[in-house]
Amino acid sequence: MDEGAEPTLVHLESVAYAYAEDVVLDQVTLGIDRRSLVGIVGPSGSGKTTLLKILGGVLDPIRGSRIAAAGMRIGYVPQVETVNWYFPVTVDEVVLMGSPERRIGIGYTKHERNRAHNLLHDLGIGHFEHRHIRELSGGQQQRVFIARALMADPDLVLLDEPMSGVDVKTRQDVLEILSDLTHQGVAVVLTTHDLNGVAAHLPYIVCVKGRVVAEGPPGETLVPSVLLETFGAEMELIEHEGHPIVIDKHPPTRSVGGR
Amino acid sequence: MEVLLDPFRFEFFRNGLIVATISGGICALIGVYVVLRNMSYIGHGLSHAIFGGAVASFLVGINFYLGAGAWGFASALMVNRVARRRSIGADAAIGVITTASFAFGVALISRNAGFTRNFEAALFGNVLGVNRSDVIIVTVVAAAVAGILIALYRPMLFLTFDADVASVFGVPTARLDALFALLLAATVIATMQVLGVTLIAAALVIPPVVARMVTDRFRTMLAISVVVGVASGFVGMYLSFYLDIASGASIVLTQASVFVLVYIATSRGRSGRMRLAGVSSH
Repeated sequence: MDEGAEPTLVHLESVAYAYAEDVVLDQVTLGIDRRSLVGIVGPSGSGKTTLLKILGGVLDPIRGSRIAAAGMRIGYVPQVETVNWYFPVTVDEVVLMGSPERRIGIGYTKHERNRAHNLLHDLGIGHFEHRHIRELSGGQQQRVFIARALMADPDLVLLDEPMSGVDVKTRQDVLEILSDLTHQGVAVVLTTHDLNGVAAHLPYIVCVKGRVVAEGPPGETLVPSVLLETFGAEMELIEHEGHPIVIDKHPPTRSVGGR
Repeated sequence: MEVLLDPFRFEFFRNGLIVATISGGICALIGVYVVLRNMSYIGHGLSHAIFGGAVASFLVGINFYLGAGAWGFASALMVNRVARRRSIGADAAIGVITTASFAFGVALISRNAGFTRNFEAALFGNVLGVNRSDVIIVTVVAAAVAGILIALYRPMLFLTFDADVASVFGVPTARLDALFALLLAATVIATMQVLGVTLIAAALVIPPVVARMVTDRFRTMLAISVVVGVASGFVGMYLSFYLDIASGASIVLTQASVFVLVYIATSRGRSGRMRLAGVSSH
């Protein structure tokens, strides 16, 4: 990352992780600076979510070290597929879970409620605060969990596949929200396998396939050799208004019935 | 009115009514967390595990609450520890530990003739043996469990909703898991005498499921579940007295009747069915 530009919030040094005997990450060295917006890119099973969880301190590496800034607060946005949408909670209750105040008893302070209300309002879903989480659209649900992450007043926000299953408008809105966050001093790290819709629009990318294959701006990392090593598929690149566009190199498709 | 007041002539009924009402309420309260965490089998398993401890402490001559309590807490912590190893799975871990403990209790009983009556009471609940000290113990345990759950409402809600994410936000999930296992064990031990080993699981599960069918709010679910549990304990005791059936069975049958009524009422709208499905869908 930009050396010396911003203080490092969390640093991984030669980190490895395994589920039982299956090593999914090895020799990962990565630093996340304040105000950075980083995309972790890779195919399914490449270790993206594991890397995100190690950054967040959910998983402890089996080798290597994780050094985090003292008192660093983290907001985490899970994959929507992992959320129990039938759990009996309303939108405001979910957001309030993120409050950093450690209070005893049922209920929240007026200050906490106002903050949750304002966050939801800022994210454009203020009028849904008393609805059940299942009653919202995919994009609105994503914003609820972003609001919960922000409720923690975080230094670092981690998002696991935040653009999965959302429409183009929502994707653009979420990217804008995340970009705004970095201007407020927050570091943002997200995972994605969407190269054109997400990764190409981020300032910094980490390509992962069990290890860090490459890291840097999209112009340096979204190149055929790196993509072949990361995704195991041949891809071509064209450029449009300064953004690289990745195109699959499909093998010739055989026609059916001679047509 | 006489029907309501007549049983109060008997001390066993007065004690039993207090214990059954409190037991119904506390099982319904902690049961909300059990159901939403998909741990329904844990209540069933723990009560069976504690049965082994109860029999052993009876035969050795140790106080029931001390013997079964120590056994229950050890089982709960063991289940919690093994369940956190994801390669095994919570249901399998509970199955191994608790059925082995239950089998140990059955083995001890089968070696001791004349134990049959106590055996049935332990399995299905019996209020005849409830005395003043039992009333005090159940009241104290219920107050402590309810007090801790209310005090830790916020982190417990987050843990129940999403344990992995809660830990990122600074919720001490491992410690809360262990504490919850202990609270559940304490609830099972305290309510075992009136509800019985085999019926505790139902008292933990039915009121929360009824509550889930009628609300989408966590706090409201807690309140409705407790109301259903308390009312079922109260009504169930009267039924037990007048119909001369085991107290645990009458309480659970009362809860099951409420479940059927609420299910029919909410099934008229689509939301009721969806909510019911949600209880077991995660």
